[in-house]
Amino acid sequence: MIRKVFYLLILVSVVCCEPDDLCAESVADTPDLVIRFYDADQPEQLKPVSSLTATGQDLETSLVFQETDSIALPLRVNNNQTDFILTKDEVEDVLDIQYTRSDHYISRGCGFKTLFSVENLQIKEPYNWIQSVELITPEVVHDTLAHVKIYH
Amino acid sequence: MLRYIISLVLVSTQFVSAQEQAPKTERYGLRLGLDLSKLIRASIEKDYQGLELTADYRITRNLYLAGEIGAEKKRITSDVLDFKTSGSFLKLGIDINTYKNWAGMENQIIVGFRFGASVHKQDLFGYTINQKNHYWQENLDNMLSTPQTFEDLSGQWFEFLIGVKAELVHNLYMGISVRLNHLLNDEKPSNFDNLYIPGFNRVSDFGSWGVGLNYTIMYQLPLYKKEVQ
Repeated sequence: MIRKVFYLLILVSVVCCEPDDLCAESVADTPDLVIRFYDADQPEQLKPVSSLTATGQDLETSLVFQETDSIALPLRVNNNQTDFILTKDEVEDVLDIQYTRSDHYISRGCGFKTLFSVENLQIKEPYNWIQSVELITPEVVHDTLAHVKIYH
Repeated sequence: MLRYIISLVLVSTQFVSAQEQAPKTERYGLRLGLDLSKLIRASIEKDYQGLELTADYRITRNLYLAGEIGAEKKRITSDVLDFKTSGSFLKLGIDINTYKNWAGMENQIIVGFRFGASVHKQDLFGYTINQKNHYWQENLDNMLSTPQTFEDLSGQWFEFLIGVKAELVHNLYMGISVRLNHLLNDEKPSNFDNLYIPGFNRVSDFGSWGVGLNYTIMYQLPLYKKEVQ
């Protein structure tokens, strides 16, 4: 009897486990900067862009958006400044975002995420297709709500 | 005549043995031990050091006051985290023997519980930034040039255990127990977590449960004998 229980306990202790190291897809990661497009003539009215490419400064690949009034741009996590060239109908404007960063613990499997506090956001002169830009939520902690309005 | 002699001998030996049989007694004492599982783990597992001393004191026939004291250091390096936990712990509780021994044997099958408490610190050496949109192709691994140290942390938990203790040679016992731990309360580091707690072991992300084990060698200091009722 004693011996049986002894072997059982050894078995239980050897079989046991290392499970929860995975990071679920649904967990909120480092948030993107969310931009919504509005009509410059009717500032309350959303105005979709038919085709837009966003290219990070010094990068060759672009993010392509079709027929949308809302885009999400990833900010750099090793730098306090991110520049995107926003191209619509082959016309370019440069969006310059300056911010401070802080890293926040998520979980064992997911590690940390970076949150941003935008300090300055502007379109570099001259303005081309964009009329004006407005920072509405400087704290970039979720990517479910808009941070920036672009009027065009 | 022969039959008469045999039966007389039988009767007399029965009489003698009945008279000589001493009252059945069991030993009561203090057992002190060492958890070998932590020493084995320290020798085979990278970045682990641990020591645990155990004790139990027999109060009644099947009830023991039991406890453990020890210290652990464990560095965990995963895909996304690199940290070290170090600290010490104390556990106190009750062991109940559920095994009925044959005369002269003193083995136990034990169910029991403990309240455990730790004081510890965590050192965070590095972490990975979770950014699913990897557009910028940046290095997301952030190794800290000076580790971030979180002092004065603590944990309190409850353990349920089952185990076996068997006498190998006179007064020397071997024991094994497995434990289900439930974290009751912990002082967490700010902007990090207690992912490992000395004495508790690994803290699971799923609702504060953990598992533990010890494998002990114990020496009994017999204090007195008591007649079995």
